[in-house]
Amino acid sequence: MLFNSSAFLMFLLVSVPLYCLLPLSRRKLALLALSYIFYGIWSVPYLLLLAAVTGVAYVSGLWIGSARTEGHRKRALGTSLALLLSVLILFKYAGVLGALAQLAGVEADAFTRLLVPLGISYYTFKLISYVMDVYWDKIPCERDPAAFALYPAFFPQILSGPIQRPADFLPQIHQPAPNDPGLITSGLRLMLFGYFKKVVVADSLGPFVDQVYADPSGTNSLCVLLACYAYVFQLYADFSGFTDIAIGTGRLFGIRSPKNFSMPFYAPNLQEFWRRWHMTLTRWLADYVFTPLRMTFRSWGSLGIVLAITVNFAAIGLWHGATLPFLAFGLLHAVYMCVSVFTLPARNAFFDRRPGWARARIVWAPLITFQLWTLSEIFFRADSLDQAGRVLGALLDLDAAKPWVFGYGKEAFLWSVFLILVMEAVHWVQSKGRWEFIWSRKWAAPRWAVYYAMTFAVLHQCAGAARQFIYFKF
Amino acid sequence: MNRDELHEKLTRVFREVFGQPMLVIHDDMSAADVRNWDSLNHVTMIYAAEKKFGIKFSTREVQNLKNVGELVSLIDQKIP
Repeated sequence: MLFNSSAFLMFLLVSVPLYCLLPLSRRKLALLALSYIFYGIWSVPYLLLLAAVTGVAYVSGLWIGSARTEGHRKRALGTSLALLLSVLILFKYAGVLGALAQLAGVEADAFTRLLVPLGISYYTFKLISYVMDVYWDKIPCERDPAAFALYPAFFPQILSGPIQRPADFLPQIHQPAPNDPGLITSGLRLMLFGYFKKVVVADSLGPFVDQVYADPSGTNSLCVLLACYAYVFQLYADFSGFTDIAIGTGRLFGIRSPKNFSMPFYAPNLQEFWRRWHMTLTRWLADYVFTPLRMTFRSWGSLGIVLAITVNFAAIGLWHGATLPFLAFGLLHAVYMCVSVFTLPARNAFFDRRPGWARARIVWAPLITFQLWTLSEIFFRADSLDQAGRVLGALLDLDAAKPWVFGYGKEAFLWSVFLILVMEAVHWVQSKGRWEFIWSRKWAAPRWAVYYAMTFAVLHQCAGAARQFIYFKF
Repeated sequence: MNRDELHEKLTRVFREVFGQPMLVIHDDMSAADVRNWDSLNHVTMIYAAEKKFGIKFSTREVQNLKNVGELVSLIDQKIP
């Protein structure tokens, strides 16, 4: 059930009023049932897989919680992580495993036919964070099986996050809040903006980007450059739009979810960029991959930092898929990050001594960061290293006679640029807490004009074929 | 070593690692209050503190630290 499908809206239209009428004591089971129905509509066998790995993590938590020695705790953690990661690798990388098996002369058709279960990366990461947090004594083990089962299965978050931590999610299930009209309204507002970003902004940029990437060598280099920028905004509008719909849907059921984006394109450096882009994944990797690696290599000096950064970003790349372009994307960011980490103290000291230059830095540092991100997105978007190479080659081919392409047409392209500006204006309003308060409570007439305009734009755009969310496949 | 002496020695570690010669630490201080104190530099500071005080931290201990006060208390427990 796609978020941008009428079936999903019908699902909400029926379930939200019924949920709000339920007594607080019944809501946990109701939300679990809704989440399992949501997932089961897509695939019952994979719903059983979700229930099975949930059971593994639940028992592991109890095992770690009751273990009397550190050795037992470690054994429980190791067994749990091995099982969870094996399932993730088996299903997510089945194609690669099948290809490797065939190279070794083993028949592996079953592998190559395996479907990737929706949201497997997200719910597995949630379960790993739970067992790790219990092992590190950050949280007690959860004894209520229904509350625990709801944590990975919570349907607004299961497909593409945000990756909420158990310490943030489980108390909301144990102490459900009464119906809050303000929270529901803010959820609906966020969902509308999410649909606007996905259906209107991202989907209007998609055809232009697709057309250029289909034949970069035959396209004018300036047009290829615009397509590279357009893809950055397409991906941002698509994924942050999805996140807004997920967070907004959660609010309809009284659940507050963490932010996943915070104006990333205004970040002054790449460290800051990653703190603002896909924030819940970045924090997850920082806590469960980067910090343990840094602790392991802490006596290795600069080499230890380089190693931890490289493994962390290679993991980010390969998390999106076991392909060379994704690996190149991750490794490029590892290089960016290493250079940035080692030079940042000197850069800060340089600008601290020159206040005039430091003021200018506020403008051009985000611009440089944005260019570096755009370059890496060429690998992220490309189907192969060859295609990425052709796009890079086309950028450097200054033959002005080559044609321009515009997807839906020149006017539609200019309209898309305007829509990006609208999107960023709304992000700016959202980032100013006080302004959002004024916007949501005071200015009724312009506020409703914007709601109607966005709804009309979404409905108008819906007349075309719905494009899948880019992050569904991850 | 009393808590004030611990603070003084740890202040020197913070100043060196985060490149701020005038930095003064206090118990309620956390990563949000210190420029350059992020997940990338956190373990660098932890390792410098380990060397300064001749102790070792586990990953679990590092993960559970919430502010400077907790770090000082942990060092206090560990130093011989």
